[in-house]
Amino acid sequence: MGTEAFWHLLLKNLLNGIVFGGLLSLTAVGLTLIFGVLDIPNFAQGEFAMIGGFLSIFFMKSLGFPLIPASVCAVILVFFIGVLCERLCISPFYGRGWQFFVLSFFVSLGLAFFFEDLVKNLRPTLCEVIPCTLTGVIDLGFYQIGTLRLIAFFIPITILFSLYVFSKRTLLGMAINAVAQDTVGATLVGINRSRIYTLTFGLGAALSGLSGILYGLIFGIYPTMGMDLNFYGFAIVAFGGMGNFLGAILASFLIGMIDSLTAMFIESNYKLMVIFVTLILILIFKPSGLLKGKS
Amino acid sequence: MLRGERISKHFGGISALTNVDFHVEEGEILGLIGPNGSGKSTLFNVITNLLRPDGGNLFFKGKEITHMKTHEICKLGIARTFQEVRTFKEMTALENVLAGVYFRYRGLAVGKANQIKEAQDLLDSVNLSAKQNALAKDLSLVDQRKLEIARALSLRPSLLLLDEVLAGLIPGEVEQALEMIRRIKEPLALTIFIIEHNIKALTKLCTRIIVLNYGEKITEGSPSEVVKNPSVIQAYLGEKV
Amino acid sequence: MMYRLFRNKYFLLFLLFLATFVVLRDNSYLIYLLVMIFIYATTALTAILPIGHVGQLVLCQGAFWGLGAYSYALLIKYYGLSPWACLPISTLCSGLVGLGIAFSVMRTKGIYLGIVTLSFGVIFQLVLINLNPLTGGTSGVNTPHFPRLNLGAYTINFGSEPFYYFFCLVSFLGTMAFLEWLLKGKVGIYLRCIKQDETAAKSIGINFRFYHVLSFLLTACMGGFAGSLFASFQGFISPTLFAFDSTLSIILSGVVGGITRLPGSIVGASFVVIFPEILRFLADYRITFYGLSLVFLLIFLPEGLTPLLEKGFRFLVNVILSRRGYLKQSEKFKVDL
Repeated sequence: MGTEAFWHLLLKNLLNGIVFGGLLSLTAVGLTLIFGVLDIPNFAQGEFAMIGGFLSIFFMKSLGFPLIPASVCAVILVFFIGVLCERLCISPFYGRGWQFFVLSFFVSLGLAFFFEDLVKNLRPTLCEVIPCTLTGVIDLGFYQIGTLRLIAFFIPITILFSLYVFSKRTLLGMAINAVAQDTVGATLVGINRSRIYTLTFGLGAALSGLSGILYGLIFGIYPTMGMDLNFYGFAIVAFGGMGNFLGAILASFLIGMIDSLTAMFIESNYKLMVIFVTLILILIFKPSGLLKGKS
Repeated sequence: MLRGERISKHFGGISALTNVDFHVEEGEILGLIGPNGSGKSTLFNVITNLLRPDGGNLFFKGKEITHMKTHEICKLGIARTFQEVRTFKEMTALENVLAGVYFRYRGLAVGKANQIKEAQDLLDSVNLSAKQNALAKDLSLVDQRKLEIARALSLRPSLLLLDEVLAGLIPGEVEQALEMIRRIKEPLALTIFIIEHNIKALTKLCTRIIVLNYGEKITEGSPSEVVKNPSVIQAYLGEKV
Repeated sequence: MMYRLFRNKYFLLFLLFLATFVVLRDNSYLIYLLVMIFIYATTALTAILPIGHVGQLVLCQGAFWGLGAYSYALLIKYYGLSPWACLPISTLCSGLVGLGIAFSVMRTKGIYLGIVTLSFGVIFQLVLINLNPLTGGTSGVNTPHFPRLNLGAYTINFGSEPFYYFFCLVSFLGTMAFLEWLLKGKVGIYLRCIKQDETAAKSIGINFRFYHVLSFLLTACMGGFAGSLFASFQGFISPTLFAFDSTLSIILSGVVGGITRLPGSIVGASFVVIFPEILRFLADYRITFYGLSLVFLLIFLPEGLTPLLEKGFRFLVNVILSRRGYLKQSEKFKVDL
């Protein structure tokens, strides 16, 4: 292969990786948000993505909704599912110190089992791509990208950007920040901590749901995708620093690129392994992640 | 006994300590004062190697301890308390002190009963015997401070670093605390290095005081000298006096 | 003296399971389950020690298990060593890897430690799958049982179920006893100190690095030991058995039993092994219900099941003994689990 072709292939893979990273970024940001505010490592995060995808397929296939309303409904529903989970299963644990950490981890795990198996039973043969009429391709000379993928890349960017603005400019956003940084201090200035917790969890779930829908548009939905996305999600969040919003975004792109490059230079099988090895090396030398994260 | 030469410590762009020279004579009670943020606790952290100094050297009884690990520094005979009380919250007062007693008896075969007795004696010396089976988190702040002191003493140190043990005490309690410090010093042959905001208390207790401001040592001397020193007054009260 | 013996929980547990064996010995399936419970219980200790007692979020127990299992299997396969010899050697192998991990994560804390150990676990499984033909890849490896011993007129079949039952039972009790002895003394207090406040612990002379590594070493060794027992008993191992799922089951056994209580390991192991079997009648919705019951269990019994069982056991024994007049009313039978 000539050098030029090589560079083209490399670039193509890098860009694909960035797109993939963009997809993952929503789940990762949701995860880091939940960890930053509630101090919970949410193992059900991947499942929320799967549920989002599943619900949108359900709305489209069984109820005949077009793509956009179906997706919006799915995301909203995932938000409420997240709220429900938080209210029922997680709030009993507040205030229990270190035990909270381990217990909430396991509760989220239990929820993950529950959701994954529920969907497995409701639709045992679930393995489909969310149907979409956008099949065009944008040709940039050396790099062709499906319109769908391009949109799937810009949607997370837009959403994350708006989230960022939201967190800095609106009262609610600042409240969330406050709770993330100092829960006691936040209550002292009149912020209703538990409502923020519920809201944040729902938001994190919804972000993941949207991520799942985008994933489903490109790669397809299958019941076990929850765990896979979980691994990616946790790797990203650890890279970027737990609780670090910007870190999660940057790390998503980084991981997306590593993923792509591994598939290109080594086998596809080794993708997760390479990601984790890199992660371990980084955490050994920089114990709180690449950027600053809370512990 | 303890000597620090040109100790420096930076955090990012902020210089917490800059070229601080100090020494602690054996048998004295040395006070360390300075406004908040002047680097007092940082100095303690550097001495005990909870933070690594970016510059400078530390010597204890002639030996260089700049790069020794915290637990090895304990072996040499330095013990400390913490400004933000760091007792082991889920353990009883007795267990807190017992943990230190274990350290003292490392390598020696001493019966469990003896160790417990020693822990109880230590609690007695700080007037906490009645509460030996209470969980540390259930103790009042004052009691937790006393517990920290007892725990530090259990290491049988020759140098005791006290970090703001008088904070939050009412005047009566301050007197009791000072009395307790004086009481334990002689029998245990302690040298004491004490950080405090309560300058009045320090003037009663210390033979010598060092003053830090913005990470630099601005003066040292006897309590009466330091209190009258204009740069010290300026540091505490601001530019316009 | 007899009274004291009856208050010793190891004695009681041994009696309990001896009786269970006598009652159930013809039911191969139940005996199989019980052996699995013992093996899981031994492994559950590897969750209880680092997470419950030291505060290290270790999430690679499945990998230690797998290390023990695979070293056992491969040492027999490629070096023809006796299974008896392989037990300690595979424990050692697992321990060495544990040491390696411990040194790498010296400065890593909290959730990051969890993620790093999780990664180790995932990588380990991927390595197992990809290191074909050495490890046999996804098709797994056959692992022989303990061999028979010919003593002239008698043949002792060490590979038989009853033997495994008692061997694993004794191994579990022995490991638990060892751990309890260790945790009662200085090591236990030091580990608890490290868990609660690392800085304060260092300042009273605790060599953090040493105990951090020790915890990992113990975890890895116990995991490896249990893993080789597992391999020996099952007769066949494959990489799918040591995926992240297994780590979760192991930690779950610890959490359900009560993550700070050593006897919780057997309680939790029973839950993890038996509960899915009980749920068989739910057919496909088994795991759904399993996940749900897990959530409820944790919400309502965050201390795990052990305290509940303790209370129940004490109550029962008190009722029986006072009915029979063996106890004065004021004196209550106390056994601490």
